Amino acid sequence: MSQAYIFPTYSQEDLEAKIETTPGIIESLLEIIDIEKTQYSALIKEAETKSLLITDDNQVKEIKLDPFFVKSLLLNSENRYLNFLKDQKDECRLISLFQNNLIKTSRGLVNRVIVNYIDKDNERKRALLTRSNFLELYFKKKCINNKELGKLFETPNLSKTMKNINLLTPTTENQCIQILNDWQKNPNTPFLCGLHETISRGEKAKTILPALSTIQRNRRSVLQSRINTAERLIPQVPYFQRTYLKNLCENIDNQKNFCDKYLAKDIWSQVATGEKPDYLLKFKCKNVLGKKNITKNDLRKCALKFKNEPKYCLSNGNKNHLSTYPLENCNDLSDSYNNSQLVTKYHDCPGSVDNEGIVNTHRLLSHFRKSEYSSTEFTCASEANLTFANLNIKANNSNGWPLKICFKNLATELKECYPYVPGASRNTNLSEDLVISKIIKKTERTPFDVKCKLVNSNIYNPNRLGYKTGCHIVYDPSNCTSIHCPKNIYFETKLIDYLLYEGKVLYDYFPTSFSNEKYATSNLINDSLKKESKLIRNLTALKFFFQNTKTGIIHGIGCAEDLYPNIFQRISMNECKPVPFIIDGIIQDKDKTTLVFRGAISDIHTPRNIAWNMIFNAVANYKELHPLETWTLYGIK
Amino acid sequence: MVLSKYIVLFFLLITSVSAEVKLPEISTKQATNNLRFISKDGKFSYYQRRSGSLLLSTNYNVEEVLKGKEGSQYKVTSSPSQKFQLIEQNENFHTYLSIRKLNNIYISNYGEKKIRKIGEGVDARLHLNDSWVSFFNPYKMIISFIGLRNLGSSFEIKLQNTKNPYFIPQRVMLNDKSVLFTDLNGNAISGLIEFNRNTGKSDLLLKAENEYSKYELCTHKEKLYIGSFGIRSVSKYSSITQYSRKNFQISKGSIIYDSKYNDRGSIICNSSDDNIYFIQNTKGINGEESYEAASLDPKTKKVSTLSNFKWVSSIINMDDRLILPYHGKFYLMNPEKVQKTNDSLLNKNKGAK
Repeated sequence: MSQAYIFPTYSQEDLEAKIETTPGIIESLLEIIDIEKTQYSALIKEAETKSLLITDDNQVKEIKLDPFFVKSLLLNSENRYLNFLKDQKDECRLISLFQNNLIKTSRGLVNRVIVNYIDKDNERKRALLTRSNFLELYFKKKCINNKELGKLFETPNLSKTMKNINLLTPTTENQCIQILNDWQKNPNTPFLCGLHETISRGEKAKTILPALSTIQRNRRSVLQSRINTAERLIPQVPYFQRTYLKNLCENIDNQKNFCDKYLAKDIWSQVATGEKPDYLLKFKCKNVLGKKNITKNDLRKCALKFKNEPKYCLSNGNKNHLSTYPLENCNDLSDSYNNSQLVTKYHDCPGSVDNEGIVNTHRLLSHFRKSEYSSTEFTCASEANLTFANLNIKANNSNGWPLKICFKNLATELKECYPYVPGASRNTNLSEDLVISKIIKKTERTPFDVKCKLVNSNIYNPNRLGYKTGCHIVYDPSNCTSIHCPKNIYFETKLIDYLLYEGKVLYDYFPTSFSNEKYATSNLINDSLKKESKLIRNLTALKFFFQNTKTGIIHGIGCAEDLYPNIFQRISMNECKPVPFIIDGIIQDKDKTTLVFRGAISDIHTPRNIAWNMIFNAVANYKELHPLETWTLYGIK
Repeated sequence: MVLSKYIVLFFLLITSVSAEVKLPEISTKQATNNLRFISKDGKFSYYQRRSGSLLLSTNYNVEEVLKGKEGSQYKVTSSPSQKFQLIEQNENFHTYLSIRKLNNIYISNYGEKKIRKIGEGVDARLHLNDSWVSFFNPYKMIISFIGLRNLGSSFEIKLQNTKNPYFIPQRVMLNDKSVLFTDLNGNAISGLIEFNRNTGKSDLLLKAENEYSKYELCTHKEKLYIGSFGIRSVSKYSSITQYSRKNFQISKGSIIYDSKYNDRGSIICNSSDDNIYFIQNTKGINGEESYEAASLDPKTKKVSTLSNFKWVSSIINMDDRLILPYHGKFYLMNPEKVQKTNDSLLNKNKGAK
C-alpha cells in the first residue's frame, strides 16, 4: 500500500539502518504492522540518542523526513488522506498533511519527527526534532507556500479565511464529481480537513473525558487540551461549513458518499447538513426524542431515522400537541418541505386552542415575523391566543378580544373585569394564571404576592402538602381546550367561586359584512404586516403567485368535508365545517401538480400534498354559504 | 298534485363536455345555497335566511321554525322512517371557527315546524325507525342516546380516544339494548365495539391492524354493513361486509366488496333501491388516483361508477334523493328514481333542458 506514495527523495538510501526495512512478502498485514511498530520503536530509540534542537538553519544544509518515518506515516494514516498524495510528485503535499495532523505514526499524532539531514560538515545524519522545529526549518528550505497557507488558518485569521472560502454544494451528479475532483487537487483542502479533524477530535475527547479516571492525569490533560482547541475553532466555523467539511473530509476518497449527501432530495439530510433550516426537523425531533433541547447530533439521529423509516412519521412527532391523526409519512413530508416556504419556528397545538381562525392567524403572523416560540405542551395554546389577542388589542378592536375574568368588588360593590388570555404564559400580563393571581391578591387581601398555578385534575390532590397552600387553577384535561375549559380555583384549599369567566372570541376571519370589514382578521393581518392580499381564483393564478415570491403564502377557508374527506362526512345539503388553511408551496412532478397544504386542524410540522381540485371544491362549497359569497382564497406577499 | 310555490325542483343536464357519466344538476327556484332539506315527495322543504331564521315551506305557506343570530347555519336531516327531522343550529357559523363547537340540536316531527331542543353536540343521527337519536360531544368524547318513544330514556357512551380530537364515532343501534360504535384506542387504532345497555359493558369486536384504517357502519332494514377503509398508503385495502342485523355475529359476515385501493367510503346503505353507495378510489379502473361516486348491488356485487368528477368528497342521501355536492353545485345520482315519484316538477325539468 505504502509503495505508491514513496517520493523519490524519500527512498531508502545511504544511511545505515540497524533495522530491517522491508518486511517479507509472506507476512500478513497485521504482522507487517506489528513488525513496523517494533522497528519504529527501535528507530525512535536510536534517534532519541541524537535528540536535536536546531536554532540556526546554517546548522543543516539539507533536511527531510526520515524515509522510514515516512513509511510509518504511510502505513498508519487513513487512506482517504493519503489519496491526496496519489499521482503527486510534490512533497509539499505530504508536508501539508503532516502540517495539519492528517497523518500519524503507529504511536498516533506526531509530536516528534525523525529526520535525515546533512550537517555543515556534509555528513548525513538521523535525528529527532520537535514537530514545530522541523516545520520551521523545513519552510526555510522548501514549501514556503505551505507556511503562508497555514497562517491563513491560524486563529487570528480563521474567521476571515472561512468567510472567503466558497463551499460549493452540487445539484447534479456531474457537478458533484467536478467539485470533489477540484477539492482533491486544491492546496487548501488539507488545511480545511485539518480544521475538521481538530473539531472532531475535540468532540470525541468530550465523550471520553468523563469516563477517564482522575489518576490518568496526562491523558486527561491531552483530552482537555483537544476540547479547548476545538471550542476555540467552533465559533469561527459556521455550522453549514462544519457539516460540509465533515462530509468532504470523511468522503474525500469516496465520491458516492460525498455526493449522496447533496444529491439526496430528502429534506432530513439537507437539514442535517445545514442546507435547510433546522426548524423543519427540530420540533418533530424534540417530540420523538422527548427532549427539551436537542443537539446537532440529535438532529442527525432523527434525520437518519426519518430518512430510513418513512412510516415512522405517520404516528410520531406531535405528542402533546394535539392535531388530526394519523400524520403523513416521512417521504411525503420531505416532498412537501422541499417545496414549502412557511417559516415554523414553533410547534402549536390546534386541538388545545380549539379555534382554527386563531391557529391560522398565529401561523400567518409567525411566518412573516419569523417568530420563535418554545411551544411546550403548556404554552403552545397560549402562544397562539396571545398572538391573536395582541393583533386585536393593537388594532384598538375592543370587541376582538372580549375574554374577561370578572368579580364583584366588595368594597365598592362594583363589578370589576380584567381581560385575559387563556393558559399560562411568561410573556404577557394578560396570561390567565397571572390575571387570577392579581384578582385573588386583591379579593383575599393577602399581604403577599399570590402565584396561581394551572394544575391537571388528575394530579391535583388537596390532601397533599404541596396543594394545601397557595393558589391552584384545576382543569380537567379531557374536557379542556383554551376556549372551552371549565376550571375550579382553590386558594389555600378554599374553592374560589366568585370569579366569572365572560366573553366569547367571535370575529370574522374574512369580512362577512361591509360594515365590519375593517376588523375582519384578514384585514387586521394585512394592516399589521403592511401587506396586501391578492385574490387567487384558479390554479394559473396560484402558480403565477408562487413563481413571483419566495416568502409569500396563500390563506383561505374551505369546508373540512372536502379538505379532510376521510375524517368528516357530509350528510346533509349545504353542510360545511369551515376550516382555515395555508398553502405555502407548489409541487410540479411531470404533468401532476399538487399543493403544500396546512389545515388549521393539522400539525404545523405535517404539511400535506393535496390536489388543487380539493382546495377548489372546499372553497367553492364554502363560498355558497358565505353571506357575501366571497371567494375565500388570498395570497399575501 | 298542487305544486309548492317554493319548491320548484328541476334538473339541468349540465355536465362537463368530456364527462362519460352525466349527472343532472339540481336547480330550484329557491337558491340552492339556502336549501337545507327537500322531502322525498317534494311537498315541503326547509331553507334558511341570512337573517338567521330556518323556515319551513309547504304548499303556498312559509313558516319560521327557528330564529337564530344573523349568519346562523342549519343542518336538517331525516331517516327513511320519516317520523322526525333533526335540526342542528350553529349560531356562530362564520364568527367562531371551531370544528368541535357544539351545535344546538332540535327535533321536530317529519315536515313540521314545532321543535324541541334535545341537547348540544354534533353529528346527530336517528336510529331504529326513529325511536332513538344520538349525538356526540367531541370535548367530553361522549355519545348521548335519547329515546324518542319513551321520554326520559337515555344513556351515554364514553369513548377512549385521546389521540385524535377531531374523531367522530360511527354508531348504529342493533336493537334497544345493543349499540355498535367505533372508537380509537390509546394508539389511535380504530376498533368496532358493541355496547350492551343491560350490562353497561363494552366488547371489542374488531380491531384494525394499525392506525391507518377506519370503520364505517350503516344499517338498512334487516342488514348491517361494515366498511373498512385504509386512510394512508401504507394500509391499502377497502371492504364492505354485510351482516344480518337480527342475528349479528361479527364472524358471520359476507364480504360483498373489496379493493386493493383506499376508497373514501361515506357509505349510504339506506336508499330505497337497497343498493349501497360509496365513494370509490378509481385508480384500479382508470389508472390514476381519483375518487368517484359508485353504487354496489349487494346481491350481484356489481359495482358501477356513477360520476366523472375525479375528486368527489361527499355523497348525501336526502330523503332518498342521492345528491353529490361538487364545486358549490349539487348533482343528482338517482334521477330515474325521482322521476318515478309523483313529482310533476320533473315534467318541467324536461322543459328546462
